[in-house]
Amino acid sequence: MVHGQYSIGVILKIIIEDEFKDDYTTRIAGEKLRKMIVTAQGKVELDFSNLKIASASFFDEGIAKLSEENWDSQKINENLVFKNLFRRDRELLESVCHIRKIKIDFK
Amino acid sequence: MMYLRMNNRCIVYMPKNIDDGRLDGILEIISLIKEGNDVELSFEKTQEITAAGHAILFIILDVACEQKIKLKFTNLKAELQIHNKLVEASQLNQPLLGFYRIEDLNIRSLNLLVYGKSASIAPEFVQMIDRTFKGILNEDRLWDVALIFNVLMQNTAEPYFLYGGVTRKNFEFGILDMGVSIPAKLETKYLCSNDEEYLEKAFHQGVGTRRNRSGGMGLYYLFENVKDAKGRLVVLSRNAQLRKNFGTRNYLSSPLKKKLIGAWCMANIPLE
Repeated sequence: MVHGQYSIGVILKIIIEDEFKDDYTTRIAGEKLRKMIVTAQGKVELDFSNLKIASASFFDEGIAKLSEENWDSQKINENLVFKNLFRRDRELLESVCHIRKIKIDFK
Repeated sequence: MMYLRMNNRCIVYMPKNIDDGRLDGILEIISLIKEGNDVELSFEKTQEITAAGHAILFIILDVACEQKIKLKFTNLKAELQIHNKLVEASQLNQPLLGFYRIEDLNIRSLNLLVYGKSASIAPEFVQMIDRTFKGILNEDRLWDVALIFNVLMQNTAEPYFLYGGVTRKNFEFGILDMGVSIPAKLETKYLCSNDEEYLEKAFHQGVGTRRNRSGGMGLYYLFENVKDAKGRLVVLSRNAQLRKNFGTRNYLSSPLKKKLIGAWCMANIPLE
């Protein structure tokens, strides 16, 4: 377990501000996030507190491209929890996911 | 912008306002430096330097260092808040040679931010913009500005300068680099008849240089947001400049008198 991540039961919590301190906008950072999600055992909670991402590259590479790892909308919605995502970031995430035929259900 | 030339020395009289206007004159200064002339900039008539103006002065310093010429500033006034590295360069009275790092060239005050960065992204600058101008710009506009910076930064491989600042009734922001020009990037993938056409093309959604996946250069976001805000957009690169004032519907594209190797993207939006 490293700084910015912790687990409660089967939930891996990733605090984006801590884990992606120096880069939360590029495709490289997005790819790192996607790998963390794919390798996690169970649900992953992504906490976007104190950050505005404002980057289609990060969302596309980190979340929408899970579709290339055989994750469909159902699997994404069952395994990912988005917390404290700024309204405009949520809209951007929805729009990049829509392009890859993923529909995010923000509970 | 007037200048006097004596052998290898030029005295340039800087304008009343140093901002995103009169950029042909700024490119003339850069050209004089690139020709190897020592340059003296007189700020006698200058009353205001905006965030864009400070970023331009940093570019001039950077080019002067690259060309190893003497750069001197005269008639400076305290209220112009010229950065100490520029003053230091001026006082050296010898050919400039790497006495600073790009990251040293930054200004942070209540109404303006200028930030030099050497070829990597600067999310910290975007955060600074958010914190500094919260209350001046609404949340949505700040997010739009962040989105624009995030895309433009990822498309810049050379050292560059970012700026954001408040003038009388406007918020201005932009990115200036002296790297690969926009037409040079686009002509690897598209064929246009001149640089003005390349710059126009760069504003279209999805126009970029990547071969394996879609994704633009960020200028589309810049264009759409400035248009939405009825602001003003200035883009200079290689042999062309585009000026689009969405408030007055005054649109101009024209060749530059002096070539710019690099790309300057400058926006100005009215404060609500």
